[in-house]
Amino acid sequence: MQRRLWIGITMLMLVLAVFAPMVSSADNVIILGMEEEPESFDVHKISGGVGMTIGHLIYDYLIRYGPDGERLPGLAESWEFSEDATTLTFHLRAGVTFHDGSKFDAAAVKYNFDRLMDPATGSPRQRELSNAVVSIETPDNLTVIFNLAKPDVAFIGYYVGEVTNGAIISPTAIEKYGDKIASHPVGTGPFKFVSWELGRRVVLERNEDFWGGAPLPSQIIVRPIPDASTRLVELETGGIHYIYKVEPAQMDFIVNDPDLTLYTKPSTSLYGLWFNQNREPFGDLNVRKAIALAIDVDTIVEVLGGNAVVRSQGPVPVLNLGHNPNIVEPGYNQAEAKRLLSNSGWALGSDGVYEKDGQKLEFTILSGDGHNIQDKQISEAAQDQLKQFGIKVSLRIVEHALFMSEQMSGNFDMVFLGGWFTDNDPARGPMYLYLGDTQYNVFGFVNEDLQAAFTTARSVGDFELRKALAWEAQEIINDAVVAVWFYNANIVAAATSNLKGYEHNGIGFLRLENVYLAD
Amino acid sequence: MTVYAIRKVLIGIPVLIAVVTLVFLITRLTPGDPVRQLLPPDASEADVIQMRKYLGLDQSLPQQYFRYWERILHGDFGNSIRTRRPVWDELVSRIPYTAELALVAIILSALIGVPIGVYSAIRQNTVFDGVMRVAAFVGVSFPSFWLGTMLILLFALWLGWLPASGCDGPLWTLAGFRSVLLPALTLAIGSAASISRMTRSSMLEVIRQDYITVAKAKGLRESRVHWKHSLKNGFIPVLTLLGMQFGFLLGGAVIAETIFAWPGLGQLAVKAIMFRDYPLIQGIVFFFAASVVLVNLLVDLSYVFIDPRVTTS
Repeated sequence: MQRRLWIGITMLMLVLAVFAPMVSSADNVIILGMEEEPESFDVHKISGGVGMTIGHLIYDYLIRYGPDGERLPGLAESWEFSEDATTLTFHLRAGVTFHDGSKFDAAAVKYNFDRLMDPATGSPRQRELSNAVVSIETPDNLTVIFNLAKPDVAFIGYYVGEVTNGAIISPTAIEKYGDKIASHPVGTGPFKFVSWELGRRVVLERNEDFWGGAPLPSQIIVRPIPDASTRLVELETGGIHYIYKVEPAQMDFIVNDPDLTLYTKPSTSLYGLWFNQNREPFGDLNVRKAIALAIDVDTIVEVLGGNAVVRSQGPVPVLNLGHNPNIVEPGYNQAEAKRLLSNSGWALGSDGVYEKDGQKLEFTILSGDGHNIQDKQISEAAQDQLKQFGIKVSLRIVEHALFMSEQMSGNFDMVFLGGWFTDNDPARGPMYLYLGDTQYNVFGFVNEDLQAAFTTARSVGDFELRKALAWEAQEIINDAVVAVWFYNANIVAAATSNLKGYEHNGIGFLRLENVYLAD
Repeated sequence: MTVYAIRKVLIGIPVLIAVVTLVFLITRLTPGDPVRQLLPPDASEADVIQMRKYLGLDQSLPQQYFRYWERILHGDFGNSIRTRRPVWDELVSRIPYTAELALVAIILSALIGVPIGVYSAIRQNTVFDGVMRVAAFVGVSFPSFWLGTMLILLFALWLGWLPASGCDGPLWTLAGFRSVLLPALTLAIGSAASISRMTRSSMLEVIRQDYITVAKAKGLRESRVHWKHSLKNGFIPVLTLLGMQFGFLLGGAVIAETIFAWPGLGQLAVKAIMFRDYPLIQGIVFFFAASVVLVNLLVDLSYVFIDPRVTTS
């Protein structure tokens, strides 16, 4: 009997030991919960994703972005375009060293851009960059000159700024590690890479020699936690201190929890329903405009978007420096919509659906499911409102990979779509959706005036002139009712309330140099 | 015995060939395109073509298929499209975690399922039996994504006893053991339910046999009769089920690992499928298939030891 008692007590102690909460001591170690694992730290080869986000803590770029998207000196202290915008000169910061101790200089910049332009590297920007750059010169250790194939002021936003692949990696490390640089990143940024246990965590440590001053956190630990609810529980229980992406449905909960803090900021993104003008009846401006007039966009955004989004205005995100505040969208006006349809020969049929020459006014909306904020719900609301108006709409909701390939092959009537246009120069932003041979140019909207305005805007050095041309371009796109625009998404992050010193970046970059955990 | 084992291994080969072929075809024929996701939104059509060529996706399906076989036979599973790391490296880094999770889950499910099944059989048609039969039915019906979330809420958020997610170290450390418990339990509950039902029905058959009556008549202790004589003979179908459950566990791991941020193959599989990372999907499914074949082979071989009447001739 006594033996049994002892066994019982031992078992109980073991169970208690296993279930006792573990307390970890932390010397300003910040733990981040990301939605997935970094795909790679060879940021020359990836586009977007967690690898890029965490890469920003390890690497520097020639140009940084401030909290509201303004361009700030990074590894370049200053830069200037030649008069004709074909030569771009960078004056580099002196005395910067890579984490491996090697020196940062003009040769390192050239080495990195040569690597980006080498087809053997397999960078997604290789072809474009090679077409844009004729040569790179390094007249001295701290000067880099890009000679461009044609005048292009937007070059900075496209290829050099933080939104691009143009991170400066240590040439010594690239030579040493080869392809394995993807898991041994060496840069000049505020944090040094320490280790990466696949699927578990990435550990970074403070770079005492960072040119901007030694950062406060001693370590940054990055944990991939794919499930959004699990991420939130980890934040509540202190398993992590910061969530980079917050689901809209979780926002109210976080706001109401005194132990958590929600950070939001509007972003340079734009989401809406685009028309495929290659398909009838969307070739007819009256039909496009009538559809826009029949949808109560303001109410839909208010009800479904909540505080995860802000209502957009026109074809360019409101935060873009070239945004035209005078744009007037069609608005919600059913009477006007009816008038336009009847002008184009459409009449209400006996079944309550508009028809013309025996052809019903019906089409399909293609949408993802949850990849963009409320994409499916907004498509459903639009479907419902159009149905009540007399237009028959079917929905085709598909998962993300299929959505991307359908959308980019132009296989849709109308599509709920959107994205981030991170550099906010007037000559950047979503205008490329309608230009040239980009893979997003699938809407069948062709306009020579727009083409001319945009091409000129990219080559003009004067900011005000660039802005004027961008305003003109927006009028053209808006008048053509290319899409029904809904919102600019907010960038939303959450942290435990004891995380201090955090400044939320409007472009979506993670800045953790000044962050610390209060007692 | 050796011949028996070799014959069993040979039977596994066509299974693997079929799996490789099926997965190859399914991944390629499913709509969706990894190249589009790899490139930035403003990439041009020419960039798409160039990247496709770089990845070897511009070749015809038969060409890609035979090249894939050629590589596998040289032990090369190719590189992941998304991370560009060798698929083999990705697999090797994740296998220990999934193996650990599956092992703990199997042990937990046997520890829960077998005693309940035996006890239910002995106490057939009692209240305990009834409750356990309903519980087993409910246990099998729980979807693991729901069960996992509930366990996190209960043990991590409300009680604060266990970590909500992640792997905090190797199994033999306290932190590591604590972190594997919830995902393993999520996987184990469903299969424990199946195991208890199988154990119960298999035991019911055995305890009606004459030799059990004889054993009881000899005056052997009740517990010895049931746990030694009955269970040993009733265990073969349960063992077969355990082997089959291993396959289900790997399938369940895909969901459990995602919910619990467990760094195993299942989580990797989800990401690979979402991205249409063909080489990685193929590598993972190949590994899953190979391990299911292997485990079932081991189960077949273990019959010989459990039941002397099973011969290898």
